[in-house]
Amino acid sequence: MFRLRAPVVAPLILVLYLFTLYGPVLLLPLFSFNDSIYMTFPMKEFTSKWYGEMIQDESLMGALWVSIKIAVLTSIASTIFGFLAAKAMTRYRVWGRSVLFAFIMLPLIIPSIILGASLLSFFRLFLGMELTLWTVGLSHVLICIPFSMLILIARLEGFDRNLEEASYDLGMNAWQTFRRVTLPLAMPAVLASLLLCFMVSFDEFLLAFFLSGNQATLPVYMYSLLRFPQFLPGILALGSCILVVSAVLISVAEWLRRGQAET
Amino acid sequence: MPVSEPMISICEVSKLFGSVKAVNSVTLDIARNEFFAILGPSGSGKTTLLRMLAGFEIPNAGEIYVDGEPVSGVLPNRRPTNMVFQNYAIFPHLNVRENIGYGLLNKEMSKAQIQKEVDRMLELIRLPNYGQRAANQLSGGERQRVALARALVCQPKVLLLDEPLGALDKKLREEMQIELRQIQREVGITFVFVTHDQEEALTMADRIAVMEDGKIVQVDTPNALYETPASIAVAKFIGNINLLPGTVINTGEVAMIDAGPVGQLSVFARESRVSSGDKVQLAVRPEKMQISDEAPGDGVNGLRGKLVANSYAGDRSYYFLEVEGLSRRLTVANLNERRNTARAAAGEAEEIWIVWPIESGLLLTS
Repeated sequence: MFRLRAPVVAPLILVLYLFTLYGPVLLLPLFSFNDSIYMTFPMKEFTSKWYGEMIQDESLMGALWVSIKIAVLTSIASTIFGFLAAKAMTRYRVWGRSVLFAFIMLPLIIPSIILGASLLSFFRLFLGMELTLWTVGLSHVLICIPFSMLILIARLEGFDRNLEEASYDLGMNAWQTFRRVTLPLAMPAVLASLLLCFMVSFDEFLLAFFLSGNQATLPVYMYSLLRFPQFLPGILALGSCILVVSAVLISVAEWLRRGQAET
Repeated sequence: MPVSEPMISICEVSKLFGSVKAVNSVTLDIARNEFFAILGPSGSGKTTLLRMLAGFEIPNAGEIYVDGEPVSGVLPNRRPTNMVFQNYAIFPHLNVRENIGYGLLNKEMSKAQIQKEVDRMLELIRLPNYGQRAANQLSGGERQRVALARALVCQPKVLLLDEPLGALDKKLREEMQIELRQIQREVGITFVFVTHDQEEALTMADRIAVMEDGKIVQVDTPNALYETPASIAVAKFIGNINLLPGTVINTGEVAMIDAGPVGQLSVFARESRVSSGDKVQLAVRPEKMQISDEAPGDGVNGLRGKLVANSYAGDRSYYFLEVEGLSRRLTVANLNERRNTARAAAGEAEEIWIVWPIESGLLLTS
């Protein structure tokens, strides 16, 4: 009887899986060093000139800056709201807790295109707002709060609520307790939430596409450039940089999230 | 027993959770410098009562006075009480020194003063070199002492302890029972602790309040509580007890009980208010009964029973006996004062005397 042993098959499947998953992504850095504006094999000479051009490209850098600003503000705002929501969910007897929870989580389930279209009509027709980076930021906060709340609920449920009671009992008021006990203990989750929300906002395309006015965020700007082959290498270079930075950020966020399990 | 100028005065306090009365119209005075235990099974409302003293729960009715002041409207951080939590709640992000000094941070004290107070506390709990240890480097007993120091450093009028020894193993528990009492004597603060462990309450407390279903059923000294429980429930909860049902035949100095098929039994009944014809339970603690080969003499009750099982516990042995006409087995606990005196359960056949002096019994009405 012939049987394939798991020690042979499993690594094969793993390699195949990893290649399918990451192979296409790795084309990005590969071609960013290729001395040609077309992404075709065989490759030409090695060059790093696209990276130089990328830095020179003011509109590309402008879009990058716009995205960073939105992502930073979004991550801070969503983490604050997420913290408040998580605290309410875990510490107080909230009326209609599960309904409230479902409503906060809803933006994760609604397709972005529908969310984008409805927010567009809400901002423009209902509130009569101009489309600016603020409208993009607001929409990003909306989709980031669920992530932030989930991360922080896990943490706040993870530590003993007697710790906060002990702090009150020892004479601290609500704010002092928050600053001296709750926040330090939740810090790994707060940082993880900041990083994750930053990435979600930075990467977000559809809502930004619907809701940005004259100034485009980086993903929207990149998309608009894809029709012009001469801009492609610059995008590849920037994309490679972002790839590296995201990988580092997500690893750090995950490391923080795991580290907290030990306290 | 009325307490003059009590440290804590609980007046008709009730606490509802939904429609459940966790604490039901409790009235209780606790004296100054008293080591007071609230004893009860889980769900009896004892922890809720303690949390109301700390301020974490607000009574639905009644008022609590600490040192004469009503405290219902006072937040936990403004009360003259401090608490040692069941799981100790040591702040994991702070070291021992920072944990103990925590309650002094918002007092008007210089850093040097705080350090001095913390050092004093480290001495008190006999962990003088532990200041720099991280919270997760402490054993259960050490955590408990740190929690104690952290509460005592605030110089509360009352220290509240929630199941203070529940998380410790048996040997450490016995050590800490003595140490807690010593510390309480040293600092001279009123200690109120909650426990479900009757032995813990008996060994540590000056007085014990027994709680059941949100009500206090008896408040007394450990000795009085054990020797003269007010009700069958208290008698059963504190230690073991043998109950022999019967009817009172005559009263007086020595009452006679008709215990049905097992015959007549007598008991000292000066303090019990019973009259002829009352249905009663004659209660006898296991260690106050003896097993014997000889028939009882004057002033001693005796029953013939069969030894059906025994349990050897080193210093003592427990014997379980069946008596014709009694639905429940009797338990007798005898000290093994000399070597090899413990009896083994010697088969069905062996009949033996169970004897107890008439002053060892107690009349309880159900």
